[in-house]
Amino acid sequence: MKAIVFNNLGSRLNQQLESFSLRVSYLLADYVAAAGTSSQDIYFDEVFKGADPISQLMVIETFYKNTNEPMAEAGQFIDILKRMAKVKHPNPQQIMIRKNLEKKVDALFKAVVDQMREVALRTGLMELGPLLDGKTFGLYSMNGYDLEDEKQKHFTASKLLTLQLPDPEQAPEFFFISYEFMLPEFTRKGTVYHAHETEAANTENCWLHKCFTFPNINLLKAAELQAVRSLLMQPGSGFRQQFDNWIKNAEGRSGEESVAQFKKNILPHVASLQAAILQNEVLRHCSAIQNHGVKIDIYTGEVPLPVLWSYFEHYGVIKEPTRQKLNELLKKDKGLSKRVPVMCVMNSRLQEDATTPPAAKEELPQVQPVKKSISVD
Amino acid sequence: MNKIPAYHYFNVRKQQSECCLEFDSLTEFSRFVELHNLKTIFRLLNNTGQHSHFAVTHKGGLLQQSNLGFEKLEDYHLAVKNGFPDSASFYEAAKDGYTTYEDYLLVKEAGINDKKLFEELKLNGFIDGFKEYDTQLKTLPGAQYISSIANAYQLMEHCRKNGFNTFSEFKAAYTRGFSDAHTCKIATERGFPSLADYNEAQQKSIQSYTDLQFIRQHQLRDKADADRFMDLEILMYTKCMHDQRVLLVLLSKLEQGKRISINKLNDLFETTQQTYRYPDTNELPAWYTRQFTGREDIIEFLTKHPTVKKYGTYDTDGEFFEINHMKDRKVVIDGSNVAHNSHGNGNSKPYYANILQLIAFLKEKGFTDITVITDAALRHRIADANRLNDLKAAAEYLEAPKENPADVFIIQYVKKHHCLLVSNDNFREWKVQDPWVAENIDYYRLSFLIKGETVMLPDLK
Repeated sequence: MKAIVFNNLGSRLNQQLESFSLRVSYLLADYVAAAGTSSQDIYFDEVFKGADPISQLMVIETFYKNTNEPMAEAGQFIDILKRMAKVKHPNPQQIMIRKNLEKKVDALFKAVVDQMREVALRTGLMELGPLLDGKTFGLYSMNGYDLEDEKQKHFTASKLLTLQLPDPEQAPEFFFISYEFMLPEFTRKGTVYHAHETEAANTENCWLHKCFTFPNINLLKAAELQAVRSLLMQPGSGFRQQFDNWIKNAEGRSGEESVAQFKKNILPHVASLQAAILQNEVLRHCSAIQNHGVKIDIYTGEVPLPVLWSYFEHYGVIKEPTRQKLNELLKKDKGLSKRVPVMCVMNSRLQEDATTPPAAKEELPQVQPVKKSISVD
Repeated sequence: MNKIPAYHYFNVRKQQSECCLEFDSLTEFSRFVELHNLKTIFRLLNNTGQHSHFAVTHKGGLLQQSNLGFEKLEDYHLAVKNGFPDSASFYEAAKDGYTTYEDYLLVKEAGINDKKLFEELKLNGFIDGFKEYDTQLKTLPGAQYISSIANAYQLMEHCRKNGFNTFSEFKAAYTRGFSDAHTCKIATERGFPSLADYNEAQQKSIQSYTDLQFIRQHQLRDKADADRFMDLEILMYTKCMHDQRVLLVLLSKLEQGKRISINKLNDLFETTQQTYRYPDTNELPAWYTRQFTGREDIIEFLTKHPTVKKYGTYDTDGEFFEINHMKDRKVVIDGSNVAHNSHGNGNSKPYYANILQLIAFLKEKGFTDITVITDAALRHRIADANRLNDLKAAAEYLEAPKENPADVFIIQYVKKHHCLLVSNDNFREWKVQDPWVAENIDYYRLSFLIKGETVMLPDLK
């Protein structure tokens, strides 16, 4: 069972939920792959450590881009530094000027990185670094600025989203998506059904079924995640095996058969694994820290691949070049319109938005009263 | 003797000597040989052809000694040096690759057949470590007694079973009370110095040692108690007792513009205060300070305390509390959210003009205490930066510190002041992280719409 969590720089997908998806995948699956640019946040400190002055200036320029800050023009200093580096025998004054400039750039760079670090810490991604062992947790690294760039051994988004993975001998894979999939701004393009609804049998439709509930495991450190994973391995073995079989046997199977097999073979194992999750000491403590008030639900189901592509496109994970390539691939291979297994992370506090009906396009945007009060009657 | 000399050996079957001496011990024989710097040693074979004695000749005499089973005198020296009591154990150990009697004994007692395993024991410090464990560690106060550890191999097995790779890892954890590596690692990452501290934190639903120290310092019972304590402590009502603060928070959540009888208010207060009592003892915490002893104290508080006026007025004749309309409340504007929200579109360019329009609307509705909080970065992205001075003149203007996102700053501000908040951000991700936000933010948040000249706040009646 291999989970794929895909995100990219500048997307609108919530990074805390990305962290959550990676953590749940780590606990439940044999292997989890973080695809895209998550590595930049996971390895935040390493990414920015030892940056040379020119790289530092590029980071500063990107950080202040589209602002009125003088540092938005930091790029002009890149040329200056490059020209200085070309001088073969700089005199002491030139050396001093260059060193002063580099020192100032370094100070500004550190301030920028500190601000970025504060934000990155909150996502929970940085905590995942120690788990990246290549055996249980790996990366499909991509060039965040060009997802179709294959240089420097980057993986491409079009290959990922058409399941042309570099390690086919590994476990059967599924995508991990988050609650944004259920938001009206996206679902107005279609409806998500429950497994028990007859529409779920139609392979053009999406369906999801609630399987697991976790506390807010973004609070856990790497060592705690490792401890929980090792304790859930045995109780989860039946679930993983049936899930793998369900994915492997997808070829030639009707939509109705797929849903039926899910209910018959996988759901019985869900209950026992959920019981193990509830009994796990580390997870119970995690829940108690938030007064047992925060519960994150994991749904499992199927989504047509083109709908998955639309989800990633809608939230800015993939851009036009990738979308074009996917469309071309779909034209050549109609089989790519198939449904693929997914898991989806949801929370009751987030779900209220997911169930709000979408507003009509032509009407004035609606705004509803939201303030609660204690009744005095 | 430090350096073991080398000898030349000759096997001899028959000996004939008029002078034949036998030494007292092989040690004495060795000493004689060394003293006289003799290099040639005869190995005397008995009738069955077995080598039974060492012998040397000296001044015509034959000096011999039983070999005690040793093939060479050098072997005897080695055996003595490495503590072997006899030749049998020496040669058996040598066959298996062990050089000291201690190692040999350890292996025999533990039943180890694998030399690699033995080297692993040594490399990971368990040989010496077992001595330390046996003599010192297991008697440490608070140390968990581990039965059935009789030798280094058993110690290593025990350690491996519990996740420790080396003796030093085990010792570091053991001296702090931990018996398994996983728990030790988790506790260490959270800053706990000992198992006892970690267990206490577990029982109290506390995550880190810093938090544990905090609850100990303030004599709080557990995480839930600490949350309730902090929610009251953060409030701006610094001169109020805790029960007064509870009442003020209650007043901040009541339906605006309505009247509530003192009896009803008292009931609501008692119900709210009940949530601070410990469920097992039904007592209020020791940290919870009280001013009210009864209804009359509440009435006096409502009548006289200046902070109450933010929320309403008590009518002594009618015995009711008239809750202020929203316009009389302090309101904070989520500046970044409002600036970006032209035409209800959260993705539009940000404008100070939006915020100014909202402020004007609020003032028109009678609001007087208005604060705007923005991200530090907003003024670098704003489309109409020249309007900042107008904004500062129109309302109190605060920028969140650079190291904090404005969301955090706004939430802290609302927690402190229990004021109204104008924002279309429903703080959904914060609701997952912060129980206070989940339970309380919607008592204070007002949504809005700005489209052209129109401003709508549907929560304002």
